Amino acid sequence: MIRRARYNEQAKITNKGENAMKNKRIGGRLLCLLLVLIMVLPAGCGTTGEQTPMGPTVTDASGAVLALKENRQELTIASVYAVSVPFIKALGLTDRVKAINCKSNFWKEADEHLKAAGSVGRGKVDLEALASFAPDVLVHRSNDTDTLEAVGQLGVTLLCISAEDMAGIYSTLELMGTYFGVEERAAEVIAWMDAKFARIDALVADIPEEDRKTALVMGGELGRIAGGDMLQSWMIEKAGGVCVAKGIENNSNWVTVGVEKVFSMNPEVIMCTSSTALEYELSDMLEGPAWSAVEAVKNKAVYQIPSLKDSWDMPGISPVLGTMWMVHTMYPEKLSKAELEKEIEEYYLFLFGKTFTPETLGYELSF
Amino acid sequence: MGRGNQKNRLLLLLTVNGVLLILLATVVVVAVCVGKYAVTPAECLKVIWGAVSHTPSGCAPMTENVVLMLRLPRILASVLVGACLSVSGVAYQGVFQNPLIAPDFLGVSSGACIGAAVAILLSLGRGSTQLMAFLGGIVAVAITVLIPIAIRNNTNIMLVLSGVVVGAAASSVLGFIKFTADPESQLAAITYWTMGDFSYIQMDDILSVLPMMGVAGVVLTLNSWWLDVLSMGENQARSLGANVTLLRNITIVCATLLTAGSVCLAGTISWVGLVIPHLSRMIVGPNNTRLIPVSALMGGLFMLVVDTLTRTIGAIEMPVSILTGLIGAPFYIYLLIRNKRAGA
Repeated sequence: MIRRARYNEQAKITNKGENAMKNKRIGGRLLCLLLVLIMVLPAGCGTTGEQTPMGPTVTDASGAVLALKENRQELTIASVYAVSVPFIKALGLTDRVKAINCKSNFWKEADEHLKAAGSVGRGKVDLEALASFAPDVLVHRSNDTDTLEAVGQLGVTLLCISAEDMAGIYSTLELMGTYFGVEERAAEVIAWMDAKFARIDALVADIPEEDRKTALVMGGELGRIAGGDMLQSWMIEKAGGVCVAKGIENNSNWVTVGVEKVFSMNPEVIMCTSSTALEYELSDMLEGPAWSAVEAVKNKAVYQIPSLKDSWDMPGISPVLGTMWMVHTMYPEKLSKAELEKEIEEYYLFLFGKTFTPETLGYELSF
Repeated sequence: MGRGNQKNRLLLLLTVNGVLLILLATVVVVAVCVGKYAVTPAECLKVIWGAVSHTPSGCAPMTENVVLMLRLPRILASVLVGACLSVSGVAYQGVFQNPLIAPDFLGVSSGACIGAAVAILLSLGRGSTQLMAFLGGIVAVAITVLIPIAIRNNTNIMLVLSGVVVGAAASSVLGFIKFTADPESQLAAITYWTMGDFSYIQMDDILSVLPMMGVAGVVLTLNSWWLDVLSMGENQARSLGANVTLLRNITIVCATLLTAGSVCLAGTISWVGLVIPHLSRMIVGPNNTRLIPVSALMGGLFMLVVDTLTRTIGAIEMPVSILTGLIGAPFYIYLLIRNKRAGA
């Protein structure tokens, strides 16, 4: 069939062949036109400017200046950014949540408002779902410019947060507290955290430099570690340890340095994160022949940071507990198991108004 | 007899295009009215009429935003991208006389992905991501075209091989970018880009590539007869007085611009440019004059149906390439079996 069609066309081609030269000239001009169009393409890109709001304002983590609304104590919330959940919970805002994406089911099981909330996507915002929930504010991370532009044009206010380190955690509490009209609660949470960190400082203050343990936090894969500028590394230092990843930085992200580099760092304690799924077992290190010369393995000091349901090394208020656990793990004489259990109970009473069993949270204290 | 055949063919062409147009219009109407945000057809009409006549629609501002700023740009973009990828597929398959060639075989998609991934890594924003994707696609195709020239073997087969090499190299570069990306945020954005996504499309995005796509599409349509000449093979085309090099270059430039424009709008969407030309060929035959408009309509229709499904069928919106792959791959296998039977 194809051959027959070509045969029929060939008859026409003979007659039209003489037009080839003419078409050649037209073709050349069209080629020039197309190149001009390529040059003008960037003119269509870009965003429009925004007006500075009047009255009291806050500046969010993206640098946007947001007006404080009169009904700020009633503003409803949506978010696909799981990091926002601990802050929303800590500030007592869960009853205003219309849609949320939680890191684990623990949050929904622990809070009936979060359980009843809908979803506007996971990581990426489903704009139509967002429109259908019609929240007043979408809480999102500040470095997702695509989403910020798309949501902005929909008419939903964006509040950007950045809580990748301890300074960011404090500023996020202040920002959300002010924007949602719960400044007092934000101040209460900050004061509580300050008091706990002050206690930790006091606990580890008298540990001599030479007795401080070297440690690192392992990520989801063996050889992928918390960079020196990550929250987990800050927690090690706060807990009186020496972070061997200091100087290895990747914009507050995990860094794949490889197993050999970990061997050369030779930490005395290895703590595996609970903020992401592990693609390995702790026994891979503890029983792996290749790891046998590493100090942490020799000392049997390889642990996973609690807890499996409510990660204590994830941005939020839980790094207080994570740091307490690190103190207990590295220096059990400074913070006993009973004292840590009391701290855990206090933490959940303060944030959730109730306590949870180790089984519910998914942790077991080693000693 | 010949005139009767021509009339029949013209009637078939008009009927096919007419049916496709009616189908496309119907799906557009359905697509405007369905979605996770409940909008009645009457509200849709009011909003669109209000926008056209510059009068208040009387609907809620969010309803107006959803219809005018989310759905209409998305529908327009999906039809445009589907049409462009399909026409681009027809053009490439014609020039290289190879029905297995997809629009991204010269490395345009791979290059565009690198450009977009770099922009995402640097958090440059959507406009810059699209621009970088476009430039990445063009640079990749330029390298693909320059390799045969550099080794003085400017044949079709060398160009195809060059495309394979550039595509493979680009995949490695993309892999490295993914490796360095933040897994919680940037990696997800890059993955979405490489799997095609219309969710954040804005009217400005479409308007920025529409003139280029329009001109490229018109040039290919006007040159469709010459595309038939090229389909016969280089020697035969030359014997008929065609400037093969110029025609081939024009076709490659236009088809590349259509693909690059599509990729910079919606990311990499697989199978459309490969399967739709085949499907169209089954209906109207291999003549490119007839094939291009039918492919454009069918591609636009297919893409719109797929995109409407991705944003409505699940609680979470999935990238379009998942569905195009699920539909395209089995269909292609069917085509291969059908061709084998026809050959036997």
